[in-house]
Amino acid sequence: MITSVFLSIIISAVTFLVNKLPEITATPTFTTAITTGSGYLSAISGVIPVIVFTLLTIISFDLLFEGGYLFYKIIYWVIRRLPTQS
Amino acid sequence: MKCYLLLRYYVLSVFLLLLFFGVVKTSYGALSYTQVYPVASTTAGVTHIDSSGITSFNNLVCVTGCGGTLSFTVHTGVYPNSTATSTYTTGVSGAGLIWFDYNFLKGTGLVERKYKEVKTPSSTFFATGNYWFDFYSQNNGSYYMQFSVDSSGVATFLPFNTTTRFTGINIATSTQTVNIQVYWNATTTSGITERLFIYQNGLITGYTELLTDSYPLLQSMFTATTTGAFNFTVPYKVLLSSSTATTTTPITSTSTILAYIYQYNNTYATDPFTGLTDSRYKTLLTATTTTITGYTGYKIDTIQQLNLYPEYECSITSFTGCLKNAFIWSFYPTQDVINSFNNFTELIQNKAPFGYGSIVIRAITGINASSTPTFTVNIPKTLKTIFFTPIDILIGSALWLFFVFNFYKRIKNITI
Repeated sequence: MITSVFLSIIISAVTFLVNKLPEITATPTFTTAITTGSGYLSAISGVIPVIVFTLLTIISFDLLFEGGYLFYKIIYWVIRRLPTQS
Repeated sequence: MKCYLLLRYYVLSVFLLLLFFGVVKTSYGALSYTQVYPVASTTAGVTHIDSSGITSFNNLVCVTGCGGTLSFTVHTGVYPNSTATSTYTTGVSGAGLIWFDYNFLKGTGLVERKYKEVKTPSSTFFATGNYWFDFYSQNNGSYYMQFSVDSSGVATFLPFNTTTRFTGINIATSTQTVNIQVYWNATTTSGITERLFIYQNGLITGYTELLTDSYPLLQSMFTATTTGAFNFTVPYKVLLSSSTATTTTPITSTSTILAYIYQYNNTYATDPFTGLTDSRYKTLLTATTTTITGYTGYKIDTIQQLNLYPEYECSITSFTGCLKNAFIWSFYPTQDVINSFNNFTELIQNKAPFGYGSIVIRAITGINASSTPTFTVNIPKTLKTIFFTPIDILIGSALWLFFVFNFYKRIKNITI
């Protein structure tokens, strides 16, 4: 009950904020680029699957890790900046 | 004198040709009745006392030992099944040749008509269906009767149906049994048999279980060895609580009983060379199904309901279960909260900027999907196996090692 109420409040609040964000508008160019690139990768993956999987995993992980680190740095900078604003 | 005796015997023998009876003695209070079951008649158009082609039966004649009433019971259904009964008692007594005429044209009861008596039948008819009869004769008097088709008959009776079929399926929740009534045929052709299978599915997992195989002693009952109507009673399965408390509440679930009658033809059995079964070996003749309702106990049909079920029995004899249930209720999130979280994850995948990442991830994870690629790289399989696969594994391993060392150096130099 306690956990349910707590989680309900958090999820409701975050959902309210997320609903304010714009919908993604996947432009046809972007979608086509992703689809075509996936097609090429799919063809190559049939020949060298381990290399393709390894490269994709490493790149994805690096992007997520560095993106998270950057996000943390930004938040930390904002937190430190706020009290000094007059 | 001789001619008179011959004529009398001739008349009696003509009458007695019509029907043969099997007799069971039954006592009803002050009166002694002999329950008489008509058996298959040799009269044209009538088989097994069924209502085939019958709109009336007449000439109920008491041959010997008369002196009381004649009663009979009309059963609705296919012998020996009976879904409804109506009992009629004649009001005529006496010895000798007594003529009755019971006409199915009257819906609320049979019209008793004496010999040469004229009566106008009602416009209400017996419903179309199958009927059979029990006859009770007082003082062990023997009777015979003649079934005939009234030329002016307007009631329509079903011809006796000899098709293999299910005639009823009933669930008894009090005894947890299913009763299935069938009419099936035992052929004289060698290698051909009809067999009944009763399945039960449901019980949360949806697993279909063959009930008849669970009762090996009854296996012989489920193969047609005699043509006719039969009924089988088989226990069905229920879930029980695993708790050992004295106040265990059984857990039940919506369940369906399915029954099939197959015809097996051994002429088309399994091919000994290929091991494949010929499709003509087993033919489905008919099927029926019913859902078990009216449960007692805690009903669980879905995983969500299972999640909501208290994990421990709570009673005077198992108080710790109450405490555990209290903690679960306090801290374990409800299914609604879990559903709302799932909805939230779906929502965020359609909102910028997280949605763009979702698109890329879906595209990358869909690389090995079955969609047709824009181009294909075709290389000989032997070349792939001998050259490309080892190179692929070697370079992939080297890349992983390269990643591990570089990631370690990155972590080492990171500042928080």
